[in-house]
Amino acid sequence: MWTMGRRVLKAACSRVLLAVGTVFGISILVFFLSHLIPGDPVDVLLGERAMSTDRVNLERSLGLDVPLRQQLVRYYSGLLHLDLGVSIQTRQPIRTLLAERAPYTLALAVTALGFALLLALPLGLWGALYPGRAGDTCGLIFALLGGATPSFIIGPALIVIFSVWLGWCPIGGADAPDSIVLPAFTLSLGLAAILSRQLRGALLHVLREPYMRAASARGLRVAALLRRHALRNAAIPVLTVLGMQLGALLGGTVITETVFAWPGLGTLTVEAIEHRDYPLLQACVLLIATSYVIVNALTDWLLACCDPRVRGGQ
Amino acid sequence: MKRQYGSLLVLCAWLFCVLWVPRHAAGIHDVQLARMFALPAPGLWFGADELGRAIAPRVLAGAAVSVPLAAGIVAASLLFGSFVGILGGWSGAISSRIIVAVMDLFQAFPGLLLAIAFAGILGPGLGNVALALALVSWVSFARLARAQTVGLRYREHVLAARALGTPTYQILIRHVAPLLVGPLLVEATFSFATTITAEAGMSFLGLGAQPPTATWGNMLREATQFMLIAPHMIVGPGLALLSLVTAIQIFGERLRRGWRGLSDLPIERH
Repeated sequence: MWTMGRRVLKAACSRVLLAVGTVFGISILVFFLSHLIPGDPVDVLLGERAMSTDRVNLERSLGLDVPLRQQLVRYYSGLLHLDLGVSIQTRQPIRTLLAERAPYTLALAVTALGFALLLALPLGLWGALYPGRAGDTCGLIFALLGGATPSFIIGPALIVIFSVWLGWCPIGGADAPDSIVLPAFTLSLGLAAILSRQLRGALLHVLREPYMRAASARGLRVAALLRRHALRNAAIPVLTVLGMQLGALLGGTVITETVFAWPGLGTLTVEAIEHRDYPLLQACVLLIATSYVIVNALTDWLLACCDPRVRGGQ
Repeated sequence: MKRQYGSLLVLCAWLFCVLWVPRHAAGIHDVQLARMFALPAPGLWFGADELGRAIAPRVLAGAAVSVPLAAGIVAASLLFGSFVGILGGWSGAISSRIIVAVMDLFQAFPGLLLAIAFAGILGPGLGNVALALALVSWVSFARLARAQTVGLRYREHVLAARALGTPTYQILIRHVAPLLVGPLLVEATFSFATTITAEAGMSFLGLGAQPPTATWGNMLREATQFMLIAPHMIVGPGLALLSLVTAIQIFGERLRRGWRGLSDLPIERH
């Protein structure tokens, strides 16, 4: 029976505090991002021959008409009210834009995670149970190529094969329910490559442990042996890597979504860059980075739950 | 024999291209509309693009841009990162904590996203891409150097040097830094592969070198725009990027194994 030990609670509290601190740091970095714009942002946006009334208006809408300290105060009070300002390009509130696009990215990331697990679990298991055999070599080659192929090569290749030649999936966009398949698969490959190798390594390590031999001497079947002893112990290093790699997944959405014209946060980021919509760009970066921090904190909590040494609280 | 040196062979081939191509790059921008979207043929290995430019020489020219750029970015991040890392591992509690906090902050971002945001703010251009990637990639070196330095701080040879009154900078340069070279070089190899991919990705998004400069990312961007009518345009730059990155990763893995074997030896230079 698992009880929530005091140590778990304490670890969870300090982890939450760490996450909050990191989000604060991220927000500072994002605030100063807009101050990296070379020269005067108003000049960059309007050109040097702009009308002075336009300049004043733009300065006000960018919040650059007040001293830095007040800009910071305004920025944080906006963040606390979840008011991220207005997009320069579309004049819509940024919050609305993000709320429209975020579900698409979430769906893409979750589907990609599912695909990655579906690919990595059998490959890793097979590689660990039969190391050095043909299946293991295939897994190694898959991991090498999957890890090295960026989404802007695999994505167009998949479109050409499955959309143009075979006609199985839509080319891009998110109009049909099956249009998520290709972008999610593209996004999942890198993660699947690393996960399969990690799972194989962790399982190989666990399978050599004396308790595995003891369990098999007690007459446990292979399936039960794997399920009850091997996979549980191998889950810890695999989960750690999974948490770290989800950041790469979230960063990767920017390029993958662009390839497939998937209307998520990634394409919104690229649109913001193309239109020099700096407030929107800041908000996108802030949202993606914050969700990465939250995912990482959740992974740590999950790890603590998996590990009986932490869970028991002795 | 062949398996062992395959990655090195590919790497040497690319190095040769990088050194040889700039002197033979004339004519890669020549527009020949007569052979627009031409399919691969003898003498036109990877076909021609939307302006009838031959793809194969442009792929080589792209290597001459991307590879030195990535090497420069990795070298700069290696130097800066290991400097910060050694400092963070050696110095007292407060400055060490500040350095760790800054590293954690940078690590909290998905790296590619931060680089894209930096480059998006700074504006398109190769220099800005390099700056953005360097701003992101120093962290892994700093983290590694710090962890190693913390481990070395109380090693016997370092303690002996301190007991002899050797100045700190000399201890760091002569007794700590040499022991960091191996792990940092291995990290640099993997970082080189990541940086080449990231640079291509940012060029793919239109942030890197502007047309008509040929980089692999630019060519893949153009290829994606025309992939419905001329899918062969992806093959040249795609294969180039894949072969180089895979070779670097295999080489790095070899280097790591070799170094691990070497560092197990109980030999230390004094």
